[in-house]
Amino acid sequence: MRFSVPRSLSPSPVRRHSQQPRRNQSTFGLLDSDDSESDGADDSDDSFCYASESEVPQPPIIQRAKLKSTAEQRHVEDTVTAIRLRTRHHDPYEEWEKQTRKDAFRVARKKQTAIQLQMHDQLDAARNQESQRLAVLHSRQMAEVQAQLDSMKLQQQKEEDRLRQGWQERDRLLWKRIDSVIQLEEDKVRARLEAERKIREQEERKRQEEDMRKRLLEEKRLKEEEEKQKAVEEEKKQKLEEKKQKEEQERQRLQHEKDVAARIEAEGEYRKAAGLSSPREDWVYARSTLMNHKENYTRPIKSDKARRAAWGEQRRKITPRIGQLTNDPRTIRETTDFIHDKILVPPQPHPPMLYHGLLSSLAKTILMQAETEVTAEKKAAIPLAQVAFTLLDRLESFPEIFFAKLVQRCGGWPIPCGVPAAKDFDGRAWKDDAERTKVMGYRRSVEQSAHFEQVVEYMNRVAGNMRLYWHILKIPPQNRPMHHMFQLPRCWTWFARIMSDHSLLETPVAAQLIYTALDVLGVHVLQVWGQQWVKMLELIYQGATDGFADGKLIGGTTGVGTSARMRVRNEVERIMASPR
Amino acid sequence: MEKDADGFYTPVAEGSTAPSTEEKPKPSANSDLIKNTFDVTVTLADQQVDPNSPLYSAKTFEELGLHQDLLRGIYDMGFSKPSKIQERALPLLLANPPTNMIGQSQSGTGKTAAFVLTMLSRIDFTKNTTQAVCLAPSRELARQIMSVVVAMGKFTAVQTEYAIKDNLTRDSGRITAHIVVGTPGTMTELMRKRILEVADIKVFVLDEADNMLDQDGLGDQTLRVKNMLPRGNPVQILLFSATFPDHVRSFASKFAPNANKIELQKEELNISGIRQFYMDCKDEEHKYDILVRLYALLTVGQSIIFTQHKATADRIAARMMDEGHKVASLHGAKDPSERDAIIDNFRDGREKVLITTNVIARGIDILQVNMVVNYDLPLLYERGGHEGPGFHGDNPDIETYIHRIGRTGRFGRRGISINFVHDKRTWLQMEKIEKDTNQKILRIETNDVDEMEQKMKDALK
Repeated sequence: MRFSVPRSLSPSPVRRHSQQPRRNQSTFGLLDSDDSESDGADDSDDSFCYASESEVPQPPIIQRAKLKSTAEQRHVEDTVTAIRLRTRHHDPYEEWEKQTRKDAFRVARKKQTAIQLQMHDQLDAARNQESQRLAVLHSRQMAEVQAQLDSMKLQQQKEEDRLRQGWQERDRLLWKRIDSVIQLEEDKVRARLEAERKIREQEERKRQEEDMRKRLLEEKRLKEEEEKQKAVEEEKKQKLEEKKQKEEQERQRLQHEKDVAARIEAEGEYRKAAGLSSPREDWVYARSTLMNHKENYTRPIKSDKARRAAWGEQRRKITPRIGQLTNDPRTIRETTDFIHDKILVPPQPHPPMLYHGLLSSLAKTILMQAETEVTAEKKAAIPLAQVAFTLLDRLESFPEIFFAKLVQRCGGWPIPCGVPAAKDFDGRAWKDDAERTKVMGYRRSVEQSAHFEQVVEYMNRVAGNMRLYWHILKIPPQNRPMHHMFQLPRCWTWFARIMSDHSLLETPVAAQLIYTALDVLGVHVLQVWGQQWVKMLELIYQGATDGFADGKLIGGTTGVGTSARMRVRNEVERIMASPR
Repeated sequence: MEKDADGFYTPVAEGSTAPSTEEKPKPSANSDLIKNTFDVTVTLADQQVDPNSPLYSAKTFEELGLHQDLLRGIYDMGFSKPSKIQERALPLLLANPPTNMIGQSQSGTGKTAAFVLTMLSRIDFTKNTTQAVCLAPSRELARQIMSVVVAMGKFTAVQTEYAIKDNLTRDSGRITAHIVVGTPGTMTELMRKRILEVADIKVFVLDEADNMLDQDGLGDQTLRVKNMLPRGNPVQILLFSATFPDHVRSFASKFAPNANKIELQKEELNISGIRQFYMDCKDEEHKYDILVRLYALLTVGQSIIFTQHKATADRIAARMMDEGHKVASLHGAKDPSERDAIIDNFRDGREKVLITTNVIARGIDILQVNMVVNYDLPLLYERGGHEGPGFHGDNPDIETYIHRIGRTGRFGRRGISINFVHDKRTWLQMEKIEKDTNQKILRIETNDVDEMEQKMKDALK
């Protein structure tokens, strides 16, 4: 819808003029003489509407005066005069009142201004004072806090220095002790070698002197005899000489052989002491220990009813104790003491056979507990390791049996090496594949379809046992060095061996075990071996990312292997990110 | 469909694999609960697609095209390959566009990991808003689910929050966590008060739906939560239930329309991994001795003992502690936080024996448990108001029995289940369980320790 407004007509001065007179000055309806002038001005006012003055129309002439009589006129004039008088009248009182009012007002205003000014000043002053006070307060508090902070920093610094010093001192002592032990051991070995050499040399010299003496005597005697029986004796002497020489040669040959054998044996000992035995030797060692133990102790115990009952009774005391183990120091101590003092080494000592049988049961119980618990909850390995560690330290021949049992349940992995393809440690060929698989540590499957457990189950079980083993290695020795299979350097040996055994590296089990070892020991040994360990980690990381040989990856290509490899990578990254 | 030796279905011919599980009458509860081989049945929402296509199966986690951070989390948790139900469920769960899913499986089959993975993979970590919500019937389960979320999301930037009672104080602002796990009541409250913003939610998970509906009120609250979800953008609804009684079935179809359905007939726990025994005892008193003796004969990690009465539970606890065991009694807990503490202690291995009168012990999902003892056999009347077959309250409760022994042998691990028989009545009950479950339960005589040990060791080898 549209609305429209009619156009308003613009007012024209002419029309307005003609319609109504100007009312800008009120004279109460009266016109004085000035009016005529304004009329005249009006003329010129309107002139802009016209082209020239001539065109301006003449205003109508008002003939008012003429209409009025003189009386009237006078009356009007009187009235006008009266009005004028009235309007021009000044009342001094009013004036005075007005003036007084004005003055009073001015005075009041002045006073007001003065008061306000004063108030503003006061307020300003108060504000300034307050802000100053606050500033002072703040600065004081600031100073207090600063002082406190300084003192705390100082204290912290002191504490840190103290700890640092303590640590350095401890470190120094530790290294000193280690160095001294190494020195001591080296000295011992050197002394022994020296003594052996001296003895040998002395013997040699003695023998030579003896020979010389004999020969001189002989010569002397021969000379004497020569005079008596020259020709006959000559012949006889020659024969004797020849025979003697032969004997000497024979004797020397034997001596040499003996020396070589002794040297090999001595070297072997050193290799072993330095942890330099070959993986195969380690495996043979563990397996032969196990078989000997079975032959000498386990079978005889099981075949005799009385022995068997005694063994079973003690054995059944071990199982629940290990099963109850939880991760608190008191339980660990009590469990260890109970097993040591009440079961294996009671006040009335067991016969050796029972003792050894129980060692085997103890090892088996600990390992089975690890397989049951550690596979589900990693932390469960810690208390088990502590109990095992103390018992390994305190019980005679336990380390050998424990390691043998570990190898029995895990195959070659604790060493690590593969189980020989063709024959057992004693040279006997395997009966069938099943026997070898069993020696590799595989257990019977729970499924009817397969004879042996799946690789995942095997892997987890072995990893559980190995986690326990690594935790045992992690504990520093208390009174004396541990059996060499339970010393921390075994960890290095293990890694060095597995990283150079490509056929092992390709299996998922290897990846999982590397992950397990890194999880337990990775950060710990970084502090022990430092840069060397970083190099090892580099090698592992490379094996897990780019591959170790011809692009083969650690763990192989199966899903199980891939996930284990990913864990190895995560673990290496975690170790490298750990604070050093 | 033909099944090969490993129990997998292989597609026969295109078109002949019309899914028919929906129409199939449900076999009776007992025969359904145990199967030596377990089958995964898939019913796709889109009926035209072949559910057995290799596209809908993943043998490794790599095939799923997950983000590297998530993959690291999965492997770091110790998973090596997808479980049976995950093989089939994960490709469906992660497919785009997101499709609803109804899954039937027990806890412990890897389903928690499956839906947690789905939630994590759908989150946009650049936005600080709630994008996935999960409801569980109990605090314990919610806590358990949360532990999986945290572990799996270890290498991602995921933020999480509980919606369980007493977790949030009154004035603790709005929730901006990506994933919120909780119970229906508290979740409703948070959404109603606008503490939890629903606009960006992409995944909604309902765990143990059957259990939620069993409890009055929980079902309503669950529905209320669902109705508060945004209507504009589609939310992927995942619903899991242990069993599918009729009321759950109809509820589920309404709750998650057009869903892919996946059913695992039986827990993945291969029941052959659990060795079942029953101890033939002379009398009630003799049971205590035998119970204690078990711990000397078997390698036990952690164990759960179920009894019928609190008095028995207390007596066993006292006796076990006397023998040096560290025992936790669940029935002694006065409030939820105490319950939490007891379960946590047990889970952390500070206590190794858990004694409970709880009928099923749902929510106790602990890997280290390798022995479950039914000190008293579960009976039907204990379930209160349950309509058992034959209405004989004295009959053994087969379903509960299965649930109980299912607390061990999780994820294909080996487990031991021990039962006690001491008179004719219990002997008959045992026989009935053996018959109904169609499982061999080995009788162990308790007169001679050596024999006892030998027999059990042979069976466990």
